[in-house]
Amino acid sequence: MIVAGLDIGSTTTKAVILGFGQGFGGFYSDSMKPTGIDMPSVSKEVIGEAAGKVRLSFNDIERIVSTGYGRISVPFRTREMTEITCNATGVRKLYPQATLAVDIGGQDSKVIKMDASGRILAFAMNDRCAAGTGQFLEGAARTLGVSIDDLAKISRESKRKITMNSTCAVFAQTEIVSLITGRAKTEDIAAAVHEAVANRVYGLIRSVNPEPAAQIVMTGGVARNAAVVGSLERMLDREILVPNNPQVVTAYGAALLAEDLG
Amino acid sequence: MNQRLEAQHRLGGLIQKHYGRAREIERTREQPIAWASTGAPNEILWAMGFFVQFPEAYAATCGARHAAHAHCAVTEARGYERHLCTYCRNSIGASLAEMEGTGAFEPLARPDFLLVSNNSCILITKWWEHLSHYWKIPMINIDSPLVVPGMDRGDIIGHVKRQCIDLIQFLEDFTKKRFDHDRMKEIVENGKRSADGYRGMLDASRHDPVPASFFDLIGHNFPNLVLRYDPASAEHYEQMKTELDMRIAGGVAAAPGMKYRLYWDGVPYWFAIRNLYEKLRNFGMSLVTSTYFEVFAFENLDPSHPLDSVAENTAMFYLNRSVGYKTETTERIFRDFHLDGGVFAYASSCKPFSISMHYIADTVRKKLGAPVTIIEGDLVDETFYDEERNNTKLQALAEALAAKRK
Repeated sequence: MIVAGLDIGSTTTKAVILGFGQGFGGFYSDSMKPTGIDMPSVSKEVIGEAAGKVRLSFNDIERIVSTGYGRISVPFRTREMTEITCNATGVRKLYPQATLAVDIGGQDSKVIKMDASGRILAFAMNDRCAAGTGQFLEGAARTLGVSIDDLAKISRESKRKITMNSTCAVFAQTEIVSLITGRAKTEDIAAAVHEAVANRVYGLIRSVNPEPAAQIVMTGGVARNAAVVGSLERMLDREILVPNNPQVVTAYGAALLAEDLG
Repeated sequence: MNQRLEAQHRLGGLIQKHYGRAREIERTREQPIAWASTGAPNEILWAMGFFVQFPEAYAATCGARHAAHAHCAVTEARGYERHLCTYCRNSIGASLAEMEGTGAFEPLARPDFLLVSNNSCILITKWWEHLSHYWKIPMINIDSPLVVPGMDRGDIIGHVKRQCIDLIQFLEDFTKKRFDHDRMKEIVENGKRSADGYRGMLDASRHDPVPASFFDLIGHNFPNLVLRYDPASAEHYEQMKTELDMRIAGGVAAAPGMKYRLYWDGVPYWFAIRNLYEKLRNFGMSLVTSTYFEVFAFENLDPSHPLDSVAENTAMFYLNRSVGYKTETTERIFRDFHLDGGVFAYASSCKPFSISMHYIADTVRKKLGAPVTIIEGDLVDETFYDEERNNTKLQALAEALAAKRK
């Protein structure tokens, strides 16, 4: 059986292909591309690319579970499921003890609380504001004139703590400009930006009342940003586990659910 | 909504008749017209011969008919900020549009007097104050202290009753008429019968399959709020109960094939009722009942003690009760109506209603093990409605319910 999990996010579309059963022995492949406006086409391309890595093609995929905001836009899906269920499934497969999943994507962030058996107890998503998401970081990087990857590196050099007052991504840009005008150092502003994102996510985490000893796993594109992860760890006073490829965990969960559909 | 109740047609007639009569009275001035808040001691107004209209109910109608946006825009143009209660913005906006002749959506008949009670929220007296300022008419606020543990029930009711007596004296001067105690008793009698009928309608939803969903029942708040002084309201509920009982006896479901029975918390997003109904139905979820109905229950009316019971009704208004009371009521409803999960509808511009929502949702989830989700929107301002995220949250709720049943 060859199945795919397809996570169509606001900025990136991710696919994971799993092969299992007789004659396959089991394999894994993934791929991702910017989502763009033609979701069905990009989804086919991403699945095709992931399939190509294991010498298969799109037509070899037997079941597809789609998830993410574009989950209902692909007519070739076997079934659509929410990012909440898919992310929790992916996280628990990778970390069987995890009871709190934190997923921060391009335009949304979510927190999922699970019990010891992996059953979802509660979840929270950010409101319409983009603070606490990848978009907030991208906007800040653009205003500072650095790449999104460099933003975290630069912030490591910070020596002076600045607190950003704006929780709105749009107002934050104005605040960054005024900090630049006030001759604040780029590294200090970068650190403040990460702290602001972590602060919003911290509030979301608190809203689901996590168990004090919860094993926390962070996924999504922002999980690749060590500065945000570090800020959150300090706020929570706990270690946060980040998988090797945090962006595809939700797609991985979707693929696992596709396997279960039988 | 699938199987249309006969009661829906009758309700339409009652509403049409009420607003038709309002237009007529506005023209003939044969009765004074009052605008009143839901929780105010409105039996006194009816007993004094007022024709009473309700700006909150009007806002809900404007929301459902997608007309609130234009009214809110009028208010915003005057500098009222966007995060103010959208019922308030709608009401002031419609009033201004009506006064300035720019046109409001099916406006309420122009008022002569305004009655409000702060038992529903903190803002409402300020809202009424602005209406009073613009319409240049008197207003009275009935102060009803929050009913929290440690407060003496008798003291609170006594405090409200004293103000009801003051209100009567004011209205006697205002209308140049004596207060008619017999008429008051009759109105309280009618109200009691209507409130009993309303409860009977709600209790029919304990049955599985539910004979009428939350969406079917939501409009039927209208008679008990607006017309309970009139026997027509009680008759409406009595006939409706017969219809619902027939459905129960015949095993007729409001929407066949539903897998999960849900609770709704908060004021409905009036503009999104159909959208939500269809969304939930597609996920196999049926909205059964809500504590929102408690706002319109008016259960303390007692014709043997008309004024005392009206004061008690005002003081013990559901929105004026403690968080603990509301949480216990929600838990009881979950048990009595055999509910599987809950949708908590956060309203961006209604902080007093929304402030307890997270606490109640969390308590229900922990104590009853019921999956819940908190969606985001607003009473009538569609720009606050977060459809994509709400879709995800509702689908995630369906997935959680399915996982729990496995």
